[in-house]
Amino acid sequence: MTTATPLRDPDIHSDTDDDSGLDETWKVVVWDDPVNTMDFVVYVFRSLFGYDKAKATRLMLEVHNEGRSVVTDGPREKAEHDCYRLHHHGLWATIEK
Amino acid sequence: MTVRDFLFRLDQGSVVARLTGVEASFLRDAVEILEGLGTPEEDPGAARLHPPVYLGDPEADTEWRRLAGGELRTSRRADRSSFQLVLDAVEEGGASGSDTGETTISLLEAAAFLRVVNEVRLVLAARWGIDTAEDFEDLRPEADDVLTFLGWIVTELAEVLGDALDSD
Repeated sequence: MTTATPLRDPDIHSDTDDDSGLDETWKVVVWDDPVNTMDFVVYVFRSLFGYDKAKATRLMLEVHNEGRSVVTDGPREKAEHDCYRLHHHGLWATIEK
Repeated sequence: MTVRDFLFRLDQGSVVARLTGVEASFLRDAVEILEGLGTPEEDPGAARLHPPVYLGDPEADTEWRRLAGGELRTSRRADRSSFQLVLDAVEEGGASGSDTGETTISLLEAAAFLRVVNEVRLVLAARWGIDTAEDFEDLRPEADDVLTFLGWIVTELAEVLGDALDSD
């Protein structure tokens, strides 16, 4: 059940951005909530983004400990699509530049 | 009543679900709350399932809700239809009272089942005022039992679906 498109690491920013705004990178942020379980959040990150268990767990812990984590990024349309999929799974996700 | 050795397990790329009749009928009733959600403005449960996307930009957020809100509701309705069919199959497979019934479902059906159970849990928790981890301590025992039971299903299913990703 791999729905994942391989994504670049959210920590690495594209160097192809220009100043037109069309290629702006939008970050997808997942926020901590007290109800979703840790196991479920790890599963969602793996399932949606194809991350391995270690990376998904690291992001989940960042959400849990820091209150939020940038889990992926990309052009606006892709960021919105990822946000939609996270909402479909009951996670609290937002988009920012 | 015999002790069950699993709730969900992977079987050659599918998932075997084994529930008792009591569990199946509890889940069937519980999911009805998702059919009767109010608007996000009036119902904390609905607000939880339709959170804002653009913080600090109400205009962009309204546009987002207009475009994505309906689609999200449609996706969730499809998940619930699949969920009901799984419960039907478990009951046809012998689930009645404390007797378990079994059915084999696809990974996609299992993922939809997981989302639906998790949604019920999120909506109930939101309506019961769970905003922080400490709020769980103030829950009525019956309410706590419900969230624990739903959380058990979520955890078991997330583990099995995680194992399926490992074996890809």
